[in-house]
Amino acid sequence: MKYLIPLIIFIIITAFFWQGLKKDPRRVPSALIGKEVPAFSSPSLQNPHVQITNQQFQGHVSLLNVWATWCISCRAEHPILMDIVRENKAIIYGLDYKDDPTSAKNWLKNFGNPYKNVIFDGNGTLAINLGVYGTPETFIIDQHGVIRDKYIGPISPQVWQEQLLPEIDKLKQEG
Amino acid sequence: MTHLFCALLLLALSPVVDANSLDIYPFNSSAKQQQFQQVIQQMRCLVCQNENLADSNAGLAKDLRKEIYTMVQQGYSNAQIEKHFVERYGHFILFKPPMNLTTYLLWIGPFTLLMIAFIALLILIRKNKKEKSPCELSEEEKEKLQSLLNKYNL
Repeated sequence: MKYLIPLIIFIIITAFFWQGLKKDPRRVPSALIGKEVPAFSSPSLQNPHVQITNQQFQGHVSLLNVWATWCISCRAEHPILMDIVRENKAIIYGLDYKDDPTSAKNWLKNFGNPYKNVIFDGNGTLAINLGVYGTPETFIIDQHGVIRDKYIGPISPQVWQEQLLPEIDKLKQEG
Repeated sequence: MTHLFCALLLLALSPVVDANSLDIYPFNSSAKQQQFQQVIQQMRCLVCQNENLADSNAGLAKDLRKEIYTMVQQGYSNAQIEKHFVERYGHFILFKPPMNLTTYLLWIGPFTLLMIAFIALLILIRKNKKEKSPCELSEEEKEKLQSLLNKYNL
């Protein structure tokens, strides 16, 4: 009987460690989930004299994808973004993070542009207000401009199918 | 040759100058400079997660330092600056977790475990003391013991 107590303690500790192994500390959960996209006004990448504001997210469910030409993982997830838009599964806005506008425009021209609109954030101030700490990051925003989720890292087909697409469909049904 | 060696050794041992705050971020009051130093040392770099914002060379750390510098210059308090960044990045950006219901266990946990271990140790010691019965030897064994002791002059 006295051997049972250490065994139970061991099992409990192992359970905690097992859960801990699955968690990636690099993925800091967003503090903005449930909050509206912070008010902003930034130039569009393609038309620098046009200002894009947070009003853009009203009226439809959308993704906001933070990317840059210097980000290799962004290049890796790009084909999946193209597929999503080609199949009309979601509207994707881009946030060009701390990038060179000319390089960014060329990048989109060469590889394809999945974004309905691209916000240019040259000094990263908008990104800080969104709690961005790396690229790529993708926000799921609902019809009322409220951030409902954030995915950190490049989107894989599996993550899209199993996690993000169901979330988006659910939000569309709510609205 | 020894002169060169000495020179190189001194160079290697000389303290590294921290250019993060003093050079790039000038302050006209030492109070503000101290405040700046305090804040950037208390916040975590989310990219290099074991470094604080004062030490990290990550791009994000530089951007955050710049924003903190602006806020300090504008007269915001430490609490206001921390709140600003916690709103955006969550509590993980502070090294000290907040004291609320969910983190209660985190704060109290180690002390509680220590107390439990200490109490368990005390109980164990008391139990051992009680179980120790005096060693009883038979007459024959006592004589044998005495002869052995005599033999070795103990």
